[in-house]
Amino acid sequence: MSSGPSRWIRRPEQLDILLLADTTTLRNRRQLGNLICSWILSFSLTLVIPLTPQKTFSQLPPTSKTQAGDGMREAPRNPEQLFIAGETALRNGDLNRAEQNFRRVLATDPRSAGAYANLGVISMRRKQWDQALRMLNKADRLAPTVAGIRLNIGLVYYRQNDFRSAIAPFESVLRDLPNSAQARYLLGLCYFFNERWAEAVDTLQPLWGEQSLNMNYLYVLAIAAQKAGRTQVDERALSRLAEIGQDTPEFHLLMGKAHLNNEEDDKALAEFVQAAKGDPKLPFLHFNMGLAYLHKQDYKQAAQEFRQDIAVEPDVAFAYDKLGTVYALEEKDAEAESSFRQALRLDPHLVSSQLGLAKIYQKQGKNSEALSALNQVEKMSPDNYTVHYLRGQVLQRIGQREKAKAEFDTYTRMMNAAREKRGRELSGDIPNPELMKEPE
Amino acid sequence: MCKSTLATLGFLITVLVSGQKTPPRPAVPHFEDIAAQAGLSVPHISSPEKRYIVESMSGGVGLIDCDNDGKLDIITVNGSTVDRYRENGGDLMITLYHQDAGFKFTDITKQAGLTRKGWGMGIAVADYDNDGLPDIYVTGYGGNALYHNLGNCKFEDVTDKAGVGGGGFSTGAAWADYDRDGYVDLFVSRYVHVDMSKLPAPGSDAKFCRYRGLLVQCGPWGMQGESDLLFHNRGDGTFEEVSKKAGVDDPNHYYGLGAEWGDYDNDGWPDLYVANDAGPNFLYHNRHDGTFEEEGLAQGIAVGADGMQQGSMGVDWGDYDHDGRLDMIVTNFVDQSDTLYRNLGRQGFVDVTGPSHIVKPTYPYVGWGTAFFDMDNSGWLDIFVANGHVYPQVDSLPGEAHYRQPMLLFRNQRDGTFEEVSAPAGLAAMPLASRRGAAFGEINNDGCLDIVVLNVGEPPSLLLNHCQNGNHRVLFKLVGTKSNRLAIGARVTVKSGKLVQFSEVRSGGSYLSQNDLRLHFGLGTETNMSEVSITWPSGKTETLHDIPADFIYTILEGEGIRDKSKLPHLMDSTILK
Repeated sequence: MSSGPSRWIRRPEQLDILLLADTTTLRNRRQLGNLICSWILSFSLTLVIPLTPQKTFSQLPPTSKTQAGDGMREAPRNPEQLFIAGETALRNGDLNRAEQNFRRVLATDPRSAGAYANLGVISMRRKQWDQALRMLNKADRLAPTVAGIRLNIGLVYYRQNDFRSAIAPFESVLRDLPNSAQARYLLGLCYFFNERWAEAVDTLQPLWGEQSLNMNYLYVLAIAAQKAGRTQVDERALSRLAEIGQDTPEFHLLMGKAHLNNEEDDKALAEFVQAAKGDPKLPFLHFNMGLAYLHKQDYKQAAQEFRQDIAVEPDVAFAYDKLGTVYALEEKDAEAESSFRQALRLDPHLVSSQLGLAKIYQKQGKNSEALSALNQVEKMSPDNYTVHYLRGQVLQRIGQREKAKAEFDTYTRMMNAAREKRGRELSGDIPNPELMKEPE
Repeated sequence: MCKSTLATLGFLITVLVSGQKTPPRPAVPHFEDIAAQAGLSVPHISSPEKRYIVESMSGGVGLIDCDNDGKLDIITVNGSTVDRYRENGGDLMITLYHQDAGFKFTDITKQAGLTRKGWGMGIAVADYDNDGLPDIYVTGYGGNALYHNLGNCKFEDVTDKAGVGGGGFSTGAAWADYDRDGYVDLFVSRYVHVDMSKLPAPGSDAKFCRYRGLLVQCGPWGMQGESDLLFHNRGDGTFEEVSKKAGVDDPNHYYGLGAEWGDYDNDGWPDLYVANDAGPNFLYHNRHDGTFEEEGLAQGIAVGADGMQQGSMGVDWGDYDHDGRLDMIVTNFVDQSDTLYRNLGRQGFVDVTGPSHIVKPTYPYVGWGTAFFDMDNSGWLDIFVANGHVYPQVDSLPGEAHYRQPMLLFRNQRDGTFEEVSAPAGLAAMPLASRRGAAFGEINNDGCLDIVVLNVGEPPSLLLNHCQNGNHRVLFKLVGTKSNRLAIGARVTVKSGKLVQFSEVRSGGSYLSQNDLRLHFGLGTETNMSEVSITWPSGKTETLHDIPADFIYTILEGEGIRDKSKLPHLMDSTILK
């Protein structure tokens, strides 16, 4: 199924369905492997509805541990029924009831990988990423051969924009299930966001058969191929993109983004204007226009575009975050603070907004607020050396020179390590929030 | 769809000339490169391929009045190549052009006795023995040179006798009397360790000798850095190397380049800023006891706003916002933008690159020579940046910024922001070049600051400033008596109308370069300075009142104005036009 123009950007509400689809087939540790395998093999990247398992838990013979009736006469249901009830509740979106049922399964069968996995899914739907990771890791330990669990672990990282950490689980899924289109696409995107261009091309290219009508796919493949110097792939993807894109607003948005990535701001804006003529409320259109104006240092117009993007999609944090950045550049601290706070309300894990707050407080001499914000950043992003740099400055300012020195030492250590690991910093880090969502 | 639109990676150079703000300002001055007509014809020596890092870093330019005739002479470093260095020990380290009558320059290098061979990198001028004649210090790969001025632009090589040969890969040099004993001392930054017998082949390391997939010269990543040096002037013509004792030796061996002294905390003692390529920059705070404390990170001036270390090259101090404190401009490697740090006083420095609007124009280029300078005599400091890549190979990358890059000029908008005015100033139309050092001064004494720029592998550019806008200005030549003779480190504060501005006499700065030692102030429409205050390195402060504009004043420490020469009416400044 192609992702037509109206669906080229996934909405957040669609994503949870996908996540549910990832794990609703998890039954028990014995059947998990086969079921997930068969599901993964039949998975289509454009599939967004929950799959019905080929066999339900209740149809499976109970294990000795989950045998109904043994000393459990007082229980209202046996573990199989509880599991099915949990699954039903999960499908119906009743997360509390689902959680309750899966926890009761675990009370009887503490080695039920399926229960842990579905608890992980529940946490994912609640965007409780740490908890989701804990549950999924437990499931993975109990059922290490089940690729689907690792797929969800990768998704947890992916949903937090931690594309580097997502690579290992996706790679492992693809090793086990080389035909998994979903794992391949996600892994390709992770390589892309980590600027591992050649690996992104090699990973994404085999999806051509089913994705060559997907403009997002073509766009990512073209950019990666260009960066990797794979001219033929680049040209092929661009030709197809032009062919299917025609004069649609989505096509112009992608072209604009391509120019933006190439730091051709005026050309990007020309494409965005074209896109706006076709669909002024196209998601992320004004966000990208804002980025172009931000690059041009036209802060007033950038702010205007981010505000328009917020009007179109008031529940997406990125535009608030960028609006805060613009206000900070204009030294409008109160407005910047307000925007960053709104971004954090929508996405409490948005490091850039938390860091933006910290910088404002530091600049204003609100030292305790700055330290508090920096502590939050450190929790969200333990590898963030900026935290130590800024904290050192705040501590220095309040006379805690020894602690400040320790922070600067930590900063230097981390900076040097990051430098070694990453090598030369590359250019073209244009935010791609719309691409960071899971593909259909 | 046009394929090239996507394949192109480089910036579109968009010159945005925004609308005028109140109050009305003069037109952007026009710069004209008159190097060839003026006789600056000696090409800088450099291999075309730049196979080794040492072939990419040279070098600086300098302004000196070597015979005290009131007209600036010009020094350029010559560079060299690995082959020439191996075969002949390099080349003459510098070329000295004497300014003759009619604004013509003559190469007098050999007659002047500036004959040490090597691989010239940087220049700093000072009168180390207080004999009233400016001496020349030259940094270079494989050894530095100190030339003692004997008068009439004749020099004696006193390097060995003075003990300032340095060695290694020396780059920046900056003189200042850091202990205020009346004699200038010398700081020398050093870059990477290069062993001429074991040069790493281009592209030989997959990590350290590649750039965007191209096989290029190796380094500085992966190469061992070198420590920095501080030579304390004993006052008898000799120096003692005291960097470790003073705490400025750089034990981590970062890759040192531009260096400049400046009293950032207004305590009357010179502090030191050192740009490091691919590392945190240093801010050495003078502790008044012959030692320094490195406070770059603590003061917020070592790295970018997000803590990102940058590939820093050139530096300059200047009070661009008239708050009475020195701010700092640092030029950086490509994709980093140059960095403007605003001095907040007790709150340290804040990176205001974004708010000041200099990110976009500087981001695609490798920045080198730079300065805060008042290009239109408005009383507000503008910014110039010389650019040029280090890898000629980038020309093969589609869309990338090329090896030869444009110069950038920013006009101070008086509200904390800068406007890029390279095009109306005529700079954007000049031939591209890979440029390095830039020196700023009153080369034709018309009252508009001119610029000399080093072009790698080519003769230098002499950018004559045609700023006929009617604004008034003044220059001060300071002569120390108790202080060091060239008054390096002296601060002059000028009050004219509502404007209060200050500057300091500095030796070394920009990228390995030497500016005019005379201090220039634009005065806008003011024809008079209500107060001129000079704080000498000795600590003594002198205040003069009601000083007319449009003169070059010579002020002797303790004795006030000793000489003055009238600057021409700007509309009469038709020299070479």
